[in-house]
Amino acid sequence: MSRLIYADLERCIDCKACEVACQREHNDLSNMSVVLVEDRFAVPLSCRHCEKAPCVTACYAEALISAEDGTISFDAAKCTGCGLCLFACPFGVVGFDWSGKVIHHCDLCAERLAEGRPPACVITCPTQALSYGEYEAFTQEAKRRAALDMVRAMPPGPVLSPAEGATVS
Amino acid sequence: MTTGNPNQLIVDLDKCIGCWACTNVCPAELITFADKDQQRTLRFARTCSEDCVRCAEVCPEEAITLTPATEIAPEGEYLTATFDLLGCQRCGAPFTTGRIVEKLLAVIPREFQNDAAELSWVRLCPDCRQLTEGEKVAKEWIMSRWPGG
Repeated sequence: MSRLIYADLERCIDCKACEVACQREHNDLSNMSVVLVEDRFAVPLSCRHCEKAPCVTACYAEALISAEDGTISFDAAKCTGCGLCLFACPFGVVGFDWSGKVIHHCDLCAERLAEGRPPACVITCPTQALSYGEYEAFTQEAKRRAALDMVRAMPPGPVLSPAEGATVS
Repeated sequence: MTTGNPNQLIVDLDKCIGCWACTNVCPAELITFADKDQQRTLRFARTCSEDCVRCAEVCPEEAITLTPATEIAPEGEYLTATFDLLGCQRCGAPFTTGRIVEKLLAVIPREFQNDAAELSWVRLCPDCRQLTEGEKVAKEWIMSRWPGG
């Protein structure tokens, strides 16, 4: 199961810290884009590392390929800068570096991961809306958070108070 | 470094899709493009003095061939190719050439071309694709978070 970046929409506050962190990590080009819907709901978007990626299909130079770990990897040395992948991506999350004449997309901060450090956006997000890991782990955490919210929202009572010595964080 | 062997730059305009590849790689910047008024114009010098074949190598459609030039075209003589830029179906902004969209429609599997609402994301500019996806994701989340409205 590939490890990807997931977003908990309950927590995204549209602060764009993730975009700034990503920019700093990637030569002033952000691969993260936070979209605000109806002035209320913020959705962080970046490369989804699709299993059957249209960008990989469109890349005749094999600069974008499906890697063995299930992610999309990019080799700038092979990129011709044709731009086809920009328009092949259904989510519009491939960008173009006009000075380097190559594309850029979320590489899950591969360099940081190699050093055992999480992606820059994940570690920077002030509300911990962004997580890095496997899908199962993310959904488990989402359920845990939703359950905690429910407990906190309940009126106090003997059944619902934390047990002696237990804490609700 | 040049070997002094000029090449003639031949472009098959029936094959050219109006992408940026050749404009990126020419070391002498003899191929350029400009987008203006919903039209893209590519300009190709007719001869090049560099001993390289990069433009021909990077073309996704193999539209460029280089042959030894029998005569040097006057400087300033160019071959131009113009393409209409498609307007985004959501914001109207011109975003890419019709031929590029056609090529993508031909290579991307049919089942990926439309989203659940049967809208063709291929005809949206990348920014509007982000907006559309953001709206879809937000709506799904709202429905799951507050079921029953």
